[in-house]
Amino acid sequence: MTVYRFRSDAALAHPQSGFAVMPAGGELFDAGDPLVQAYPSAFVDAAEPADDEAPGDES
Amino acid sequence: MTLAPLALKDARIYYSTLDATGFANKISLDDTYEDLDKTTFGSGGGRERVAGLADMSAGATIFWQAGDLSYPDDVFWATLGTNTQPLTVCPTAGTVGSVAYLTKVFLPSWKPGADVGKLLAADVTWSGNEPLARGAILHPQGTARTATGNGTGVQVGAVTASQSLYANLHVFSVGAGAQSLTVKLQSSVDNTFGSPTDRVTFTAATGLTAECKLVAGAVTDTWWRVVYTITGSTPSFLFAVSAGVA
Repeated sequence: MTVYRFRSDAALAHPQSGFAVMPAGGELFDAGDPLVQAYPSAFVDAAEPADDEAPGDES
Repeated sequence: MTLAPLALKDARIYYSTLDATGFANKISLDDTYEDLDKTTFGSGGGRERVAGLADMSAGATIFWQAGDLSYPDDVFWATLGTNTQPLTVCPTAGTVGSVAYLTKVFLPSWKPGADVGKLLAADVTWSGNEPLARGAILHPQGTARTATGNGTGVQVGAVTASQSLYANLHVFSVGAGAQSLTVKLQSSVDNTFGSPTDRVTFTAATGLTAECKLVAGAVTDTWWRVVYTITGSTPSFLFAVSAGVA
C-alpha cells in the first residue's frame, strides 16, 4: 500500500470526527487513511523527497 | 448538514492488551446518569430532576480463541475480577483523530459458551471504574514504531478544574528481544507544539501491557500528542493511545 507524508503546515479537520489534527513531521499515512482521502493535496507520496530536501530547492 | 449514517463495519475495540477488533462482532456502550427526583410542593406542578451518579457499562460479543495475551481467552482470564484495565472503543477505524470512547473498567465475568456445532463465543460486559470519556485516538494501533518519535497532535480540548483528561495505553505487539517503550502525553497551546508541556508518562512497556492514566484539570492547552521513546535491539511496537476529557 502506498504511504504518504504530510507536507502542509496547517491543521486538518478529521473528516469523521471533526477533531483538528496536526500530523507530525515525517509521519506516514496509508492511502486508506481518512485524512489522506479527504485532503490528498496535503500529502505527498512518501517515496518522493520532501520539499525541503528536493535538489536545487533553495526556498 | 447532510445525513451520513454509519454502517458499523470497522469498529475498533481495545481491551487491555487485546485488540478485539478481529474477534468481536457486536459492541455497545451505555453511559447513564442516575435520575434523581427533586420535586417539591414548590415545583409548580411538574417534576424537577437532577443528575446523580454517572455510571457506564459496555458489552461485546467475542469469539473464543487462546494463545497469548493478544488473544481473548488469555486476556479475559488474566483480567477477570480486576478493575484496572483500559477499554477503548472507536466507531470507525482507529486512525489518529478518530472518535474514541475510553474508560477504565471492572470485568466481573467471562462466560464463553455455545451449542454443539456452533462457534464458541462469549457475551462480555464491562462495568466502568472511571467516567466514560469521549475523545480521540492519539496513536493508531496499525502503525508499528521502531524508533523514538512524536505522534500527531490532536485538538482534544482543554480540561476544566472539575474535569480530567483520561488516557489509555494498549500495547498489542512487541518484537523479539529486550526492548522498551515509554509513552508520554504532552499538551500545547497550539498545533506547533513549539513549547509543549509534559503531562503524564505511562509505565515503560517491555512486553504486552496496558495502563490508564489521567491528567487532572485545569489545563488550558487544547492540543495533545504522544511522545514515544523506544530503546533496545531491533525494537518494534504496535500500540494504541486514546485520550478524552470527562
